[in-house]
Amino acid sequence: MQCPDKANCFEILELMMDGEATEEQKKSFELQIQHCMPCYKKYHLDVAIKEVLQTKLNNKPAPVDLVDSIKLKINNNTI
Amino acid sequence: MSDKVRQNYTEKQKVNVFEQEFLPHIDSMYNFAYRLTFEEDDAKDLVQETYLKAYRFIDSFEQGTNAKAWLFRILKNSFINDFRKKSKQPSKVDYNEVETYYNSEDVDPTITTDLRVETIQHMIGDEVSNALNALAVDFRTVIILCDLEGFTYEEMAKILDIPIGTVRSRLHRARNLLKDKLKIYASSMGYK
Repeated sequence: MQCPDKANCFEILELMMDGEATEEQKKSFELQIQHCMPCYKKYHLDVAIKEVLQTKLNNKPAPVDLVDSIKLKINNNTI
Repeated sequence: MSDKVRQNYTEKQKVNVFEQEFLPHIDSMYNFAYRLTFEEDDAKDLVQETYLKAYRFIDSFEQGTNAKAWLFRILKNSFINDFRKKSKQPSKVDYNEVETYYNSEDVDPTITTDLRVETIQHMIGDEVSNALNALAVDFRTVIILCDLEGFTYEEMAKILDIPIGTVRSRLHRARNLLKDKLKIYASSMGYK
């Protein structure tokens, strides 16, 4: 099955996912997604990848000496 | 560094802005730097250089505005100007073929169709991280800014000095490339 309006559909999917869609685009998305299985699948996959990026990647804390080192350099430069 | 009106902070105000508005972003800055350079020492140097520049140009920063985006912009520029030159990073990607992506017939290559939501959800952080790190730096950067750091398209346009349309096309292309990497990885690991 092919989406009849793939280009427009994908564009709105991405705007929805990133919280950038206008009210009109949100309405159009709701209507389209109900009838369009390929786009529905793609949307859920894209959202899953975005969620995995947000939740599973390790964030390291900055090294403890970094802030001190920056402050020291600033103080040395401004005195 | 900015086309905004220059502030005239006292020394005390400068320290205040620096400590209250700049330093709270140090972890995000360090992670961004690390994901650009892949080296802890380089990431530290890059963050330090960014903060020193931020302090030097602090009069270009209007208190209470978006400090995180401002700092990310300085870090990105420092990376391009100083670090990328001496590293082995691949050079800029050619975007000419990217601009018409929404009208392209092959916008949904079969490679993405059999990657399943469950497969993605079962991957561990390192697997996803490796796929992200395998992208060229310009593509990696837009995914970091949008999906990891939550910047809006408008903020990304300012950080990267490119139009919003280019932000969107680059992001779209980056996501397709990431999906390809994840797909290849999933197949190699025998994920179904």
